Amino acid sequence: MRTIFQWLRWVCLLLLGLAWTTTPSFAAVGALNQANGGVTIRYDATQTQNRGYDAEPSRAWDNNPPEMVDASAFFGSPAQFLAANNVARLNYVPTSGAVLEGQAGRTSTILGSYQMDMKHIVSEMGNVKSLDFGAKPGGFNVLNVPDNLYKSPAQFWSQYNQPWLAGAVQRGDNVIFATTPKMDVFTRINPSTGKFELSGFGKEYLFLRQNGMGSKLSY
Amino acid sequence: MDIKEKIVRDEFGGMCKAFNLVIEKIGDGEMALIGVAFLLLIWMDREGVSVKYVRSASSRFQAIDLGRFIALKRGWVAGNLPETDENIETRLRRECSSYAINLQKYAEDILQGEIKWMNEVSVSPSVLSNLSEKAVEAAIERSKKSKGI
Repeated sequence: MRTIFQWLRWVCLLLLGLAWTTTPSFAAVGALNQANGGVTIRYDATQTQNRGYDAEPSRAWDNNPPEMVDASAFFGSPAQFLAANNVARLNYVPTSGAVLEGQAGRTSTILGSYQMDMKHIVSEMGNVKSLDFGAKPGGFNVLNVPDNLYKSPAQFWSQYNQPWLAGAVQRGDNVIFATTPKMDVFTRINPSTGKFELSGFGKEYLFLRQNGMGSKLSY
Repeated sequence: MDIKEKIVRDEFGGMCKAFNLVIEKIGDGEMALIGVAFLLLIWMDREGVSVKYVRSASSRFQAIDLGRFIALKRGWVAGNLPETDENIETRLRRECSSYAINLQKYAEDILQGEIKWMNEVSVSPSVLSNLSEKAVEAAIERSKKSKGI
């Protein structure tokens, strides 16, 4: 007796399953032909797709993104969102148009022409003179050492600028160009020698390219 | 008056008088020599001096490296002054002096307001940052007041 009930149960489940997979959606069923007093159930072929089996499901998510996509819905503002993730952001808009925003867990090194951009950037960062060339996850790495350490272009490059940039290369920092890299800002004419020479920014760019960062540079 | 402003006033004073340019301080190490339709930005930092020709173009300021232009296109061959182990102040003063002399020699038409040279293919202007533009606009307003305009 029990076996029979088990078989009947399986048959019922099978029938229910078949009914589900073959029945058109409710939208396909309409009431028609009520003129003769009866009701004819019509099958509308244009509405036969059961939404559960659509090849191209309705993209309700894309069309109606939930509020959580907008960080400000939770954090009040993008700045709060960045702060909650320990990611720094600067308000200054550099001449390159780059967004000065850090990356979570990664140091972002900012390079550019001092007069065109970097002076505004270090100013917004509080103009803190430092010899800390270490990692700053989520934050910015800029070169701003005490002025009295500068003696000559060659000395400054070998003692401070190059080691600072080598650290950035070694860490695989995210490099942001505040100034668009081009020849005008890579070189300056030296009125003393009459020759064009590499600017600090030009030396930095060349160093990055010579040390395998070329393919990672985007601007 | 800080030392960089003093250097510019000392070294460019004669040129500004000759070409009717007004000297205004823009910021630290940044001075403007303001004319009627253009201005020269003098940038001074530890790398040295650079001179930018700035002109308003379609609501933004465009800056052209004037030293580069006269060296590449007008035959300025600088270098008659030997580079010595000097301090930054002496170097800035010497470079400003060199610019003042050679701009009058190689860019007299530009200082008088000529703009045809800007059509040359090699001239490559850069934009100024919003902050620099605001500072330049403020300096232009100050120069107008000082001229009584």
